[in-house]
Amino acid sequence: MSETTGMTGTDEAVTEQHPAPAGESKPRPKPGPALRAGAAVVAAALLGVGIGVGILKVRYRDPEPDTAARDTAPTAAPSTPAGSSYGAKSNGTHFGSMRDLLLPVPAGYTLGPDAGAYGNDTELTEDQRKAWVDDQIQALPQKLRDDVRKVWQDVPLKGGGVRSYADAAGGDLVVTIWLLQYHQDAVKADNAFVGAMASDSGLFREGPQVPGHQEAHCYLPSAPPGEKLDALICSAAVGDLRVETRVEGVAPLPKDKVVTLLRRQLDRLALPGASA
Amino acid sequence: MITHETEESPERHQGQEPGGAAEFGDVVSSGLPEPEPAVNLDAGPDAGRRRPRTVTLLAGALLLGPLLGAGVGYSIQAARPETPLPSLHVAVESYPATPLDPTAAAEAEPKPLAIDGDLRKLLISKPDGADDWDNYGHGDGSGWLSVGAKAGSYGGADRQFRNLVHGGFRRDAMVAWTKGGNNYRVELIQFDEDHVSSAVDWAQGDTGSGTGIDGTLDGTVHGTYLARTQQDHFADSTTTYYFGSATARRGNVVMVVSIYSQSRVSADELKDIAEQQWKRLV
Repeated sequence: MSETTGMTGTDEAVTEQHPAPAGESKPRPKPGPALRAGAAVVAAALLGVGIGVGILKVRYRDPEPDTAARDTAPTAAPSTPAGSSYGAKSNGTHFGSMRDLLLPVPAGYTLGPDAGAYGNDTELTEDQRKAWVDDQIQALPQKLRDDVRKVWQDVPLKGGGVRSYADAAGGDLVVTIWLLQYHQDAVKADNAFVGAMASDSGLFREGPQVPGHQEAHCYLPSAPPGEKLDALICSAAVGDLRVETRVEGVAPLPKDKVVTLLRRQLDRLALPGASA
Repeated sequence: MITHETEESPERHQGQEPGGAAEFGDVVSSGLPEPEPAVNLDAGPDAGRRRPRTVTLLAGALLLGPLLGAGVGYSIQAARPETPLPSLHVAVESYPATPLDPTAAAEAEPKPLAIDGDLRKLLISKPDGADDWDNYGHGDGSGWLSVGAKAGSYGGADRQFRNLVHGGFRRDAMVAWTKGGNNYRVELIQFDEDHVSSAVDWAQGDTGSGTGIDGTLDGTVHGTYLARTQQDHFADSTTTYYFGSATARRGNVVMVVSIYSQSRVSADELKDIAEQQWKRLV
């Protein structure tokens, strides 16, 4: 179009996109189904957090005083490998910086786009954790908000971290890994909820398995053939950490690469003595 | 004795009074004529000795004057009180005893240009009476457009996706509303610090081309707007719409205002929204 002057290489494609509103990239009258479903997955995952914590509150809170369990946990864990500044204890708790617990950017990747306001390589501060909870609540239907807010007050988010990975060569894959640290039982309940929701609702395609990590569930939003982009969500629970992975990329997604990345992340978080 | 007298007297008289000398000369002329020439011969050197004495006096005065002057000057200066010289010591650097308060110091510093934090808070809010709009289904309602959602809103989504990733796309905050049958979207698209050129490209390119009412946005550096006068149609259907957009860039953030309308987009309305949003960036 008219503004292709002096642009070459990758810029050429950029210019073609720019007249987008003018010509080729017109907005679509209907939502992109894959992406809308992707949004649904995200919402479901978030809802899973809230509802899972809600279940925990009803079922577990009275018989099991979680504060006591947590307070004794760090002292009663002699199995910690000495000398490491991060890692897991056999009772399921993780210690150390979230940025250490997150998989370092592997060869062939660079840090990718930001996860909204949280950056692309971040350990969430206390303020950011509060903002994160607020963001999750905003995504919920109005009538659930107050309940979920209260639950997050009772079972606080103790830690959070996020890092994004972009495929350096092709630029056709972006993986964002979140680590969310809160009460182990709630983490487990949330992960089960996401798994059930994804497999039973019929909204999603079954995603790839992660070898050695049965606790990881991966799902793809149902997309019609011919869709040029695809998305994938994986959820896993490792002790007191929930690992939420969001993948976007050019279809078909390179599942082996995603699985490799996720497996390495889960191996890094593995509890001592756990069968791998 | 006489000879001595005669010898001596001519000396004196000749020098003092020539008349007197002639008288004396007559007296002793017979006895000793010889000494006269001798006396006369002596008189020459005598006169020479006298001139140097004057010169010596003058020279002495010349020497003495400066010496006296120097001596008087010295004594006056020596009598004055001493003016102390400035110290050669440089003041030792001092450090505040209390640690710097980082928040106060940050407040005092000039604000950096970098736009960071939650971009959604920089967006204008939808006007009163407007309804939320789902941006044709792109986005998840969080106020952010992921790279996939952003790329997916264009034709050639796969190429667009790669362009964004390679171009250092960071994030895209969006507010979208519908009012009076028209759809409005305001975005703040941010790129990496290392990819400001991508922001420049977007700011230049996203207004697009076509015929219509166009111009520059007041208060911006390279901000432009375009309200098309011809209709476009959606990629997947024959439904037509009028399109108007305005873009401006601040650092690595590109502001994009888009209006999808059933009738021609009002350039004034477009400019007004763009101006409101721009004011929140500067």
